[in-house]
Amino acid sequence: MMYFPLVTDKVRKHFTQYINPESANKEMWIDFNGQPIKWNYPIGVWFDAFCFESPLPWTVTVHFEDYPETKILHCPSKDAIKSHFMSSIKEADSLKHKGQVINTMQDKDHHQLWLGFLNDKFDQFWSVNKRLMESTAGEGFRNIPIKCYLNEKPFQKLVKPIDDTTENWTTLQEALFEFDPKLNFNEVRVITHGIEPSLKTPIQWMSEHLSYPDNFLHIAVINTNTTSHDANQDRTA
Amino acid sequence: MSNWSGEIRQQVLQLLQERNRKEKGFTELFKHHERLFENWAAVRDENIRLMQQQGGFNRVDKGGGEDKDKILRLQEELTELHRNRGENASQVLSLSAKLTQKEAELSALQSQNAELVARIADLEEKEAQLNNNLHEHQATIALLSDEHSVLQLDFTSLEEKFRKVQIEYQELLQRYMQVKNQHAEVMNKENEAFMEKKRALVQKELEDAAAEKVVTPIEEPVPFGIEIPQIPTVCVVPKIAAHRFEAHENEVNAIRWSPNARHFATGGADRKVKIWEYTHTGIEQRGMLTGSNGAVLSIDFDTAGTLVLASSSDFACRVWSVDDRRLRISFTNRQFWAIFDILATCTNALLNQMQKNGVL
Repeated sequence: MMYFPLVTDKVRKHFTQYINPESANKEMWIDFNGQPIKWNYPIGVWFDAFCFESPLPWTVTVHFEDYPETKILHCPSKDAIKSHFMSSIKEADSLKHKGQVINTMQDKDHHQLWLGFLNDKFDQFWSVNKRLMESTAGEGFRNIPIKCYLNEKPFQKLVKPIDDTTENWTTLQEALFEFDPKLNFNEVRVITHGIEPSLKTPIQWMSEHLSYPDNFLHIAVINTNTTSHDANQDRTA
Repeated sequence: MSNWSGEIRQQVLQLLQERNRKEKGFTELFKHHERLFENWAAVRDENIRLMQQQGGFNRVDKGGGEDKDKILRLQEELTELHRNRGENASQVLSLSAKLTQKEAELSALQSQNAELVARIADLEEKEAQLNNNLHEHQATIALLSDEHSVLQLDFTSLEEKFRKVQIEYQELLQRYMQVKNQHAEVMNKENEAFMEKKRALVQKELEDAAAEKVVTPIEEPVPFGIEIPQIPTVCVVPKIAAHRFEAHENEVNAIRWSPNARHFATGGADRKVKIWEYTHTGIEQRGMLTGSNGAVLSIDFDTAGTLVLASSSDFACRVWSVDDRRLRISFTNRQFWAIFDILATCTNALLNQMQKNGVL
């Protein structure tokens, strides 16, 4: 997974040849179908949440002018992305283990996580990340770090891996009920990572295996009555 | 968690693979596009550079004919210098080749020289040795010649002695011969005298005998008869055989006429004694006497002609009777295993004696 500013260097270099030289130094921003893409979302998450029905390849428009200040944040540098990434991880860990695991890690472990993520090095990343994915057997995490994208808006709620009432593992379905009790599963599609897992999948398992590198589950709920892109899209990154 | 994580994992894996399959095509396309783009950029840059270069050259061309001439001249000089350098290099190579050749020849000659020196040394050694040998041989030759001369002297002296001794021997021989001659003469004389005497005696006896006319000789058994030699008057030598016949299978060892002058007996190595009769028609066999175990060596008849006595090589003598051809008696004498000759007198006497004693 990636964030947009990490991969758009070449794009910027290519396009600066063709644009007005004065605009070349301005910050580049991307939009899809009129909607500017926020850079702090993983690329896949944005696609799943907002454009899942659109045909591949995903065509976006690059702008250099008229940066929409109100809608998206500025991204001054790569370090901004790194700090955003690390804060996501810390938040996830505090949900899972009350922050104990991330606090026992040193700076070099944090750096290793970032480098592994940045350079697409699976082993480097996961050698640190597996510590964050440990859970006491039979009990799971304290809370599941999960972001749900309903109606084009992200929601975050506390979700417990084990149902208090039934003493079973919480399924995806039950977790989504937390966000929207009136959710009609016949009308929506539940998507994460571009796939549609079974609704009976336990959330604990999903959190361990289907989290994004920032240790969050990003689940998109897409309304299937309207295939237009301003429909509700839940995306789990 | 583990019991259903397996199937969930399978399911999720399948979904992910499905997603990848759909989206994969685009990655290839993008990569290809990127490569093309890069190539295009590189080519464009190259192009710009070349254009610039060419532009630069064009500018230089317009600059000046003078410069061109200078450049040409310099280039010519440069080429000439290059050629000279090439020639010098080739010269250097040839000279170095010659040098190596000469060095090789020199080393060869030096080695030859060394060899020859070594050979000279060898030869000198050999010469010294041969000289030594020569001296030794000469010394031995001198020695031998001295010995030879000494022996020569000895030889001459011995020769003289020998001659002297020979002369003496001749003299002695002559004297001996003389003495012997004298002896012989004496002996001859004596013999003649003796002979004369004897003749006279014999003559006298004959005269006496003729006068008496009484003859009664008594035969005495004499084992070894000594016959008085009679003076032979007529000599007849039979030349042609009257009859020739095979008598025995093997050798015929003994033969004896019977006293009746018609029969004779033969004994052979086939252990048989055969009796033959000599008639006017020829020779006929009258009988065969067997019983001897060895070759029959000697036969004799008795004076009557009725008995045959034979000796054989089986240490025995046997007596047969002629008429019935029966073996009468056999006796052995181990000391004399072959009795080669039995005289008539002996036989007769023996047999007479035996008859008297009742043995036969």
